[in-house]
Amino acid sequence: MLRAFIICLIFISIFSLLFSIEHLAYEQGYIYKGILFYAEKVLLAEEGNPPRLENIGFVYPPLAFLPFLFIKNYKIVSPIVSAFVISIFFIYLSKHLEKKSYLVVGFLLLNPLVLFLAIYRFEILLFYIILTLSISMLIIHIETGYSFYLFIGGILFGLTFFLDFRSLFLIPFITIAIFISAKEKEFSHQLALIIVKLSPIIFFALAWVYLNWIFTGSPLTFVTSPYSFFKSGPIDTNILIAKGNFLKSLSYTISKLLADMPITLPYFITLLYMRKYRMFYILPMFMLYLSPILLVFLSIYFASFFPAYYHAVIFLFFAIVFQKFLCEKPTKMLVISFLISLVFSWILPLYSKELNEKHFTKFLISGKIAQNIRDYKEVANILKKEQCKKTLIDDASGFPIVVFVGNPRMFYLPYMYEYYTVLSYPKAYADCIVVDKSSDIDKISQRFPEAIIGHINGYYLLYENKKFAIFKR
Amino acid sequence: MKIGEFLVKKNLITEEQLKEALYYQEKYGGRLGWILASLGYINRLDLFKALAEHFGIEFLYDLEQIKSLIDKDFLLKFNPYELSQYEVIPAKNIDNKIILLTSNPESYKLDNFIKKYFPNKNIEKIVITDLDLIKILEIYFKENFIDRAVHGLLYMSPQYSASMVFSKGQVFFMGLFLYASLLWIYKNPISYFTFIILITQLFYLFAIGFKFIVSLAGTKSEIQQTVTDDEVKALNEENLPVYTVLVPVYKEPEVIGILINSLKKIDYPQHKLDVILLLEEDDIETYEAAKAQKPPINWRFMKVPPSLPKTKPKACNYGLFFSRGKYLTIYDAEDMPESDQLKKVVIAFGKAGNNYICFQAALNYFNKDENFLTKMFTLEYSYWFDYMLPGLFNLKLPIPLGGTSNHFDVEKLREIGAWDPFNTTEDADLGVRAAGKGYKVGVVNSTTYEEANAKLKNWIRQRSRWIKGYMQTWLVHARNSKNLYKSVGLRGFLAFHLLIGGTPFTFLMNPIMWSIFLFWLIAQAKSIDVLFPTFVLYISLFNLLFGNFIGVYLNMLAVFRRKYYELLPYAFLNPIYWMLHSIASYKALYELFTKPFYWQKTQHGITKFKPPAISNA
Repeated sequence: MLRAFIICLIFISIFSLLFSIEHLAYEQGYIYKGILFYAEKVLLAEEGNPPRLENIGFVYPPLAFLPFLFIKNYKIVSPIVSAFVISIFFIYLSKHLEKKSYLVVGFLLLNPLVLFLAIYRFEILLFYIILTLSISMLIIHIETGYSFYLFIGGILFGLTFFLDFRSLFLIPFITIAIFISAKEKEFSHQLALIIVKLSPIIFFALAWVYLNWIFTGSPLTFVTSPYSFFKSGPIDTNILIAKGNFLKSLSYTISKLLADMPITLPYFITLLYMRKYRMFYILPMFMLYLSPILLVFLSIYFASFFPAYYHAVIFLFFAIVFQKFLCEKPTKMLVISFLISLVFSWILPLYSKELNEKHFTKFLISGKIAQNIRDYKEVANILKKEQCKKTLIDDASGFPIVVFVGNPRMFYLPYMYEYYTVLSYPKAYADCIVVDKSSDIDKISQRFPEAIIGHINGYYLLYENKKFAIFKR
Repeated sequence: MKIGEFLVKKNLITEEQLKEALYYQEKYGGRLGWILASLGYINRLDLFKALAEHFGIEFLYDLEQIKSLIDKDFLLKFNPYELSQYEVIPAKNIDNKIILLTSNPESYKLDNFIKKYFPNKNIEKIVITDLDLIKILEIYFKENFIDRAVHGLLYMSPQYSASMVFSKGQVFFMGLFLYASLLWIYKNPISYFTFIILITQLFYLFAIGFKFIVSLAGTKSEIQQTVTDDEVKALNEENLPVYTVLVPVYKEPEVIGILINSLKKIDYPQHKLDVILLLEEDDIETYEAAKAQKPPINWRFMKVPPSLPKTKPKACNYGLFFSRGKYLTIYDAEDMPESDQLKKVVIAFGKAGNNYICFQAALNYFNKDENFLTKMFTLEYSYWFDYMLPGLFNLKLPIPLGGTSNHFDVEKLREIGAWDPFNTTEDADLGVRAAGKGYKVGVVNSTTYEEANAKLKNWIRQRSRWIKGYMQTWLVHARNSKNLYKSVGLRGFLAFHLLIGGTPFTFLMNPIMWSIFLFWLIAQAKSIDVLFPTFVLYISLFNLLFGNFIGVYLNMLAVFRRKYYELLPYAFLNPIYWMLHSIASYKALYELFTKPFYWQKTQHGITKFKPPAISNA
């Protein structure tokens, strides 16, 4: 009872912390747009015309959308899910680390990168924690033989696919690690272990292919679509250079690891302890411990990577969980490495290429953040005020507007069957049109190039800001 | 002179044999004569004759002579079950002198009987063998025994008997359902079939969730074992109770040898094993095969008088009347329990507390590699007994018992009315009934290896009987829902419906749902879309993809845990195996209406595989 109370208290405290920070930023006009993207897709799936599951697009890992189905206030989705996940992680750690688990969770919550993920990128935080637990459970299974850990670890590994498709990259690696790990055991055991461990992720991937096929007509939409998860992120020149080139990818991976090392220092220190534990180069724990490095390398190789600092968080999770296995008292060096990591987590993101984590870290230090949703809110307010019944818009960039308006049936959007008919002759259907002037993929500005200078036939320019123009019939 | 010395003096045993028996007596306790006979050093007739001589009591072994001593009217005044327990037959009352026939003349039980019924009478004891005692009871109380074996539960708790297949309420409800269905189909067939699909899919969804949660709880049993090996080693063997083993057989002469050998190997004092072979009267060949094995004195053969229904539970009820054990288990003739199973159960009962009625051991197969069917059967049983039942146990939910290797506290078993002879899965019913009466069923970490059904027709027969039994069990307890709910709470109540009612329902609906899916897959017919509105479609897709996967994956894990690695790929063939279940389910449904109590006999001893030597897992 007391334990349940403590866990509830931890959950509530974490949620309060995360939500307070997010709320302060929101008051200044900032929210990570990915949150609005998920919220819009779920809104379309639930209240679109017609409401249907395929409105979420089937190009992104689906678990990120799921919480939005149950929690209607998009602002609290990420804090709630993250608080829940961190609490679970705490429960898992507390079985071995006992009181030290409070310190660990405290350490994590002081880290701006963890806070950033927890407040805005819950799907990534979830992916990191689930992947860490899955790998650690595989090791526990190898060590103890208990199928419980294989069961949970296998399912968790399968679930990582629904959070981040890149988990597929780890399949060959885990296969090799298991073969090496169980070398004293018979071949059939190794093979069986691989089948059991990898079946969920392979099955889930095939299920996703099937769902893509029945809902979009192509089984590989999630790979080939221009909006695919693999293609939708920001692009870095160095990554493009390294793409498909083993040596360049390796070189870039090493440079990235070195650049992040002040933050990921505990990971490498723990690696040294493994050597002490006589596992260096020999046992699977070592092999499997390298999973995050491999994930980064393959993400770079397949150009599905952006050099943000929040990737360092998975290294920290691995360090914490594997430290737990070593069951040794943390040495001074390890404690110092965690402190160094904490300090650099506040410094390095200030120079990040990933603007969201950069601005967020600045906000945590200064209390000020550059707004990023004001334009969208203004457009949404005008659409509501002008009582536009049907608005033509491309939500590739205008998705926040749909969320702020809150009624997707007021819009003609690309997921609708009639969208291109409306686009070809909007006058007959839409009383308002919203054009994104700054986007080169906006379908409306492509259809009506003069819209950028404030002209669409049959419509007058109602409102204009730096980003959007609203036309009314 | 002590009995041992007396037997040596009479040259019935040797000094060495006496020493060995004394060693056993010191270690395990028990009667010396019985130990010697259990070891096979003295036969039954010689033992009882010597006992009588040693105590200076007359001994009779001619059945006609024994019968001539009995005053039927006097004997029939007594309760035959009590006589069986006291091992005594009050034969006659002549001028205040009571003649008592007994197989245990110096026992405290007999003294208690005399104190209870004849406190101030002259008593003349006559020794007869234990088998003659049973024969006499059978002769004079045959009708009573059979009546109790068949109708015992019906007399005690008629509401729990499956002799009434459907209650009036259930018939009314079925009628109402059919009428409403027809009306609805007439008015709007699309919405009706959509509704049926929705209900089915929602049920699947709950069943998948239930299975997942229970299995998750079940996986922990590997870490937290009910009884550890250290506990078995530390067991005080002197106080081990008498353990009855019931072995119902019918036309299975070929497996008797296996049974006797595996029971001889069991790590339990032989003289404390009370093995009762339950035979049907017309089963001469099994009887002869059993006799030819020359089993020791602690084995008894009992011929169950012919009557309807001709079912295993009826035979078990019959055997229960004569059981001497504190605990009782059922093994099929081809069963090979792990050698320390009985000890583990004794420890488990000792640890569990007074409200436990039964412990179920895991079942698995020794002929798993024989063919596709035995492989799939092994996958299924590995999952069921290693994950599902321990999961139900860990979550404190009602446990439907498995066919054999369920170990009972005899007193409690009698109290709840034992097995229902009208139910074709009497074991599952008993588990639920026990829960309904406030008792708990546990799971013990020991395995009994059986022969998996290797022939398709035989398998279908067996499975249809099981599924019919599940239908019966569901019907019986569904009409006692209020009591069940009160006893097991909401969780247990839902678990009962999902497991007992849900299993046949799932198998019956599966072919329909698969047919719709396959038709859609091949024909891409848009006409089917109207039956699957968005919400129904999503649930159906989830069930199709993840429900089936969970079923397959759990099977994989179960055989992985058992180290049956070569069976892993077969887990992917489960959908074919489930189709066989569906065939059996429709046969079961048909029989539920046409011959509800008919016992589809499973033929044993047909495997080409020889059973391996079993050690402790």
